[in-house]
Amino acid sequence: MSITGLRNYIRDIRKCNSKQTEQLRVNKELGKIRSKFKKSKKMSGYDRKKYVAKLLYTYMIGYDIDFGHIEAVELLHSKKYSEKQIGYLAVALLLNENDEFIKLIINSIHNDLLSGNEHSQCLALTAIANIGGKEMAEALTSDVQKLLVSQSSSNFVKKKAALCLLRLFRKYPDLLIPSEWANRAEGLLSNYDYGVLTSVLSLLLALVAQDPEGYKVLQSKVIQLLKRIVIEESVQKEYHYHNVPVPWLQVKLLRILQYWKSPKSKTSGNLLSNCLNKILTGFRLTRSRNHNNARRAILFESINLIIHLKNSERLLKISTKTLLKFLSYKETNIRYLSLECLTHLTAVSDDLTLVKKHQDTIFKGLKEIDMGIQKRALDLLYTMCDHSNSTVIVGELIKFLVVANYSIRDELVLKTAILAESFATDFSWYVDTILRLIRLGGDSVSDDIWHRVVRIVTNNPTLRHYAAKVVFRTLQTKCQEKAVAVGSYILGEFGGTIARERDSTPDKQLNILIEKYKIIKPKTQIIILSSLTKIAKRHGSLREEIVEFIDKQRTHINTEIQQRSCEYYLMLTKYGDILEEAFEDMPEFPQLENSLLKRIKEQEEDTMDPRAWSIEQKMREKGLGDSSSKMVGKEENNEENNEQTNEQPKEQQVKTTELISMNQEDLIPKQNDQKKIKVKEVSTMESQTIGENSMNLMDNTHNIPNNQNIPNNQQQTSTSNGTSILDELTGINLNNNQNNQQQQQEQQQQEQNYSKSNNNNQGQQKTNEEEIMGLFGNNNNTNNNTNTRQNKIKNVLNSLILSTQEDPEQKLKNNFDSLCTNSGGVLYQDKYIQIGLKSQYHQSEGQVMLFYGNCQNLTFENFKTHITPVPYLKLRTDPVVDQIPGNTQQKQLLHFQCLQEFSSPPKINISFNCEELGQEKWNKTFQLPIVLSKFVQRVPLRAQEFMGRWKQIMGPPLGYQGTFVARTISATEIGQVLSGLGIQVLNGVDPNKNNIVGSGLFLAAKKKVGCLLRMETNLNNKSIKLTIKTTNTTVTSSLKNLIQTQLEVRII
Amino acid sequence: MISGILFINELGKVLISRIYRQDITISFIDQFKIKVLAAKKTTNPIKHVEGTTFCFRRIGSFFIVAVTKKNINAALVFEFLNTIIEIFKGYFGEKFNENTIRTNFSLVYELLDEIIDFGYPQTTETDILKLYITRENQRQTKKSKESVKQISIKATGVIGWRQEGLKYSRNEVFLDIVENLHFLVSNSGKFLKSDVFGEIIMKSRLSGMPDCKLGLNDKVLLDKRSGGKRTKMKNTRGGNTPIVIDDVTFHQCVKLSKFDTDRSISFVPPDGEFQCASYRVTENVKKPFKVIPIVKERGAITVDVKVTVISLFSENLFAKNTVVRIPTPPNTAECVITTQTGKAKYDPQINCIVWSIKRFQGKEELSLSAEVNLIRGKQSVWSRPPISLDFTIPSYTSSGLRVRYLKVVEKSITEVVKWVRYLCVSKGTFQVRI
Repeated sequence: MSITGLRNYIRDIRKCNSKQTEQLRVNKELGKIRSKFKKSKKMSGYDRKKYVAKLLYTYMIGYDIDFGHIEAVELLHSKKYSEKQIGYLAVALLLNENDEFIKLIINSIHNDLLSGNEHSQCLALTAIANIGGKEMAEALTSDVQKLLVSQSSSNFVKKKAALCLLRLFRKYPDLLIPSEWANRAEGLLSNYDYGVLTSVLSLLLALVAQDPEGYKVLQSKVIQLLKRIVIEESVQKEYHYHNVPVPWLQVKLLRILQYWKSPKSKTSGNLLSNCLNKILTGFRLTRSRNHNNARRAILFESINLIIHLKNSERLLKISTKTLLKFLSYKETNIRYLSLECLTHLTAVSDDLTLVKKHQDTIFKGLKEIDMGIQKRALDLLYTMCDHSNSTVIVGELIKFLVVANYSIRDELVLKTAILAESFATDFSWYVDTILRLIRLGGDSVSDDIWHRVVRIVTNNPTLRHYAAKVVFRTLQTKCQEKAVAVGSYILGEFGGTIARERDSTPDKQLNILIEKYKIIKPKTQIIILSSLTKIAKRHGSLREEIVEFIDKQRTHINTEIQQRSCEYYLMLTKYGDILEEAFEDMPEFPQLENSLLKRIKEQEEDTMDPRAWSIEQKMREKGLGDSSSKMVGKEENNEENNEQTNEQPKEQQVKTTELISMNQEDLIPKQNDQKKIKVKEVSTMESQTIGENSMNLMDNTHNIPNNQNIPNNQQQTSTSNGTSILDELTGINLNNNQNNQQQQQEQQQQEQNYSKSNNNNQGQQKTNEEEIMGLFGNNNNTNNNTNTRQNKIKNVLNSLILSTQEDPEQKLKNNFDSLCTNSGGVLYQDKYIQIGLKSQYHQSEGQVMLFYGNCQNLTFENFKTHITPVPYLKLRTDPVVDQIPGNTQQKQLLHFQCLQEFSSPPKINISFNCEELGQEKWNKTFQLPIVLSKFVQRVPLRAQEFMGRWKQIMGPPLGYQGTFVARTISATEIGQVLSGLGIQVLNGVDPNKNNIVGSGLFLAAKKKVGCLLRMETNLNNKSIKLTIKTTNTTVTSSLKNLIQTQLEVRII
Repeated sequence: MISGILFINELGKVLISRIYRQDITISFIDQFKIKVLAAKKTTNPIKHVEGTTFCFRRIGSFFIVAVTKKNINAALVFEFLNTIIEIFKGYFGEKFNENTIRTNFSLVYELLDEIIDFGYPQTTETDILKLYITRENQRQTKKSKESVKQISIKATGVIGWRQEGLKYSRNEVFLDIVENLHFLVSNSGKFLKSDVFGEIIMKSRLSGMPDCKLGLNDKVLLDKRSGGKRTKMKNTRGGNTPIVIDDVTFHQCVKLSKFDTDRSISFVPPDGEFQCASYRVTENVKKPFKVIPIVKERGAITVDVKVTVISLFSENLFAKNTVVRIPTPPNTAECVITTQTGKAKYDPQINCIVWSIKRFQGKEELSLSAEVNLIRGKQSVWSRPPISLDFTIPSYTSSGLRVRYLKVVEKSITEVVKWVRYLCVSKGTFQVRI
């Protein structure tokens, strides 16, 4: 085995005392090897081995080797073990998975695998695992599998094969298909060699983690195996580690069980709980440290399993006790693990009384020197916190913040902020706590946290006064950057609420802000500048002083501050009207995803281990993510009710508020579900009939302020109200899932029926469905408050899509909406009749072809259609036949000319008799998709023309401006919708690329109305600010309604 | 105005520290330790820390640091640090180290006291210093009052670099002109870089206080002499061709005022060997060799190389120890070389064909051809480094510099033997691209 040449070479290299001499020596050797390889075509095996080994050594000490691969590959073919070994070593080291030489070696590896020689097989397996390219995986996986499963291969080879397969699987998870592999794996588990079992379980762990259900068959086998080890203790002596039988295997078995739910069959369930019981109760401390460690490892894993299974109260209790006992142990590792385990436990378990009793012990964890323990203790406190102990825990955490190490501070601050927000007992406590947190947290306080404070204070009017007061007090002390930021913002916004108090007069507020201004960073200075402007707007007496101050800042070195102060200065001195508009009271913030929770989720994703649990679960269960919005939601609700008493809003609004309050009274106990659904349906129906248009709830809430000219502010509240309705509705639907499932099945049956009869229109229907899917997809993004919500909505969406299909009203409305932009499609469909239409428009004239399809086998008798005459259309209809035989189609053509502008489309009434309906008449009224936009023509305008006309039209009622939350803000999608509505999108008119500008011309018989519009999209909250300018009020409002209906987020 | 001198070893242990001005405190040592020694990379020999500037030189395992608070002439400081090293070499021999400093600390302090006064460099001539600062074992027998007086005169005199009263029975002057070539030639024979760095080294064994005058064929000087009338000199005698010297630096003994006025080099030389002047020439440089390389890559595994070297200097001269290094691709396995003269072989250590010719006559053409066989492997493109040449040509200057005269004026000397040698050297710095 020994190679003298290699030894000499290594000795020479070792002797070199500088890098240069080493380089020279290496160069010399490489030169020699090159000439040897070149000269002697027939080299002895020994020489080849020697030179390859030298190359390997050179490679290992850090030099690049770019030759000799062929020689290494040749060594693979050698029959001598020592030569083969060096060959494999070289191949594994020198080649990477994408190397072209891989092709050359696959065959020889294949031969070795099949050789039956144990040693060659092992070498080959190791090489496969180490190189593992795609080509290799594809070519050799089956061989490796065969080796693993075959009876003839020795245990030694099997072990290696299992691990090799694991490596391949990790890289190419598609190689092993669960259905094929589950049974083979079962066979492997009956092997009696514990070495093989340990390796196989490593493989299985990876397999099961990928697809737990696919390998479910293994569960009973695993439990059997566990029993064999734990209860029967039939393990050979050589597999004992300090008197613990195969601890590694045990841990793996326990871990693999955590991927499955508790076993279905009773026998194995009992077996498992017996095993767990024995592990739990059988734990005794001994003198041997290694023994204890091994035992504890098994114990922790089994506790994890118990927590996962959650089926035995007794075991849970014992494990909790054991863990709590561990908390007071001396070994740091034990405490770490028990804290981690407890976090898991608290995340899953509902009964926390035992853990709470030991709260003080956990607080001690925070004070430990070890950072890991601190972190785990923080995690545990974070998960175990609820309303009962939040005050204590948050208090302790803030106390800890003062002394906490910098590496943990960010997380600590974030988690404390979430806890304070989620489990706030009352608002003043929340404000106090969070301000203290911001003050103490210093730089670790991220912007999210104070943004969150501002958001909550803004959304809770009752809180404003108190918050302003506290903030003012804080500002008087020496405080941190972030505290100044939040303080100045709140003072600017809500300083008015404390202005009357003697200690905090406006000029005192002003002085304190200016004082802070001098000592903080530009980012916060900007906030102060804005606040000052707000104060100036509020208190005219201070305006001069503030103007003077801002004037000085106009020459500030920071360009951002310079710009701000210039703007504010002009607003304050010259353009008072802009000031009024720009610094109106802040509208309430829409409910977006809680940024803090989002961040913590991101953090966790970073460090997530592939276990079957995470803290997030717990949050989901507790509904923690919702709680903040609940808090806010309630407030809104109150406010809404106040409004109700103060003013006398329209009938609709009362209805919507009723709906909300009903929904919010309690969060959906199960019995009430059905009722609520009915309430919901009724209310939507009502609102549809009450509103002239068949707009949905959301539109209505938008319409009200517009029609009534209620001040801007209220409009905003009502929109946020709308979103909260949505939230609640989704909540209901979630609980109603089961109901929907039944309906689903019926639906499916129905659908099958349809498809038989309506081959023609299937395609259209499909696209329609897809469109609805698309709508909700976007909906999803805008409305989720939290991760929980996201999931809920996903569930809800599925049910919603189905429910829309069965809800004829909704379906009709969707069809109508899509027909507003398309020229043809299905208007209505049920099991009797399908009504489709095709339309064609030219200037003020139009044609609509209506198709009536009989979906029954029976003939429709007495078929009649009637279009209600409207003053704005000159209409001529072709007569329609009296009878429609089964499974046939009839057409009806409508000619019409638009005489003047209009807001609501014409209606058609259809009635017929059918045998199946008996005496009853089928009678329904539909809106025809003849809307104003159909008479709008696209007109391309140049930028100059556009701007000229744009400036001519000013303000309501000719102009309209409003904001709504959009389903999409992609320019192309909006462009498609607009061109469907007859509006030409003009490029290059608006300097801002995100803004969309369009123009069109409405053509009536004797009238022409030019329409201009502009949309400013806001990426942050996905809203669109729409401005429409026409020369006619009705055109403006109808266009606005049409565009909003098309682009808005839809609610059912 | 050096505020202090510090000797400190790599580990931050202070060997010697001497403060000359009160504007720094001893705490500067800590600063140096933190900012320079502890710093990961110390590439700059100068570091400015909060108003304090450290100029340092590393010698073996320790640093000599000059500390100053003022905006001092950095070149002066480094020149001075170099001089200190020269002085120490003069005292302790070429190889002095940390240990020498430790054992002779009292002597070092004595020297430091003598060579700087209040931050200003003073006497730095080892010869003079040795007169009154002596190592213990070199202590002279009792000095007479006379000699002590003499010391003070010398130490404060105008010519600090030369002892008085020297006497040689045979007065000799050796003048060596050594030129180092830094050439880079493109493969088409075009000059990309042609710098000649020359030094004039003088070894004098002269009695008394001789006044020497050196005449070179400097263009400015010759033009001045001719008064601008005779622009063309008689080129018949070699050495009268005027050459343009880019820059010259002289030993401190050369009277610069005289050089400035009439470009004449006159000086009182120190005893023994010294570098009288160094200069640089970049224009009108003669190249001693012409190299014609032909390298062809034939397929993936063979490279044909043919290199022809032609000597351009006169046939009376010859180059000694010429070595031509022809680089080969990194995956060279073997080389088949044929050549008429000299020895050639492939050296894998430096990845070159090394062709050495003992004696290369002038106006001669030698060539070498080789077939380089490569080994297959993962080849990257060969970067083709340049061919480099080593050679030494006696009696030849590439710049054309000649000594026109060397005059020695001293009353006591009747006859002076003068030796002038020329040498043209390249140590791998003559490069030809392939």
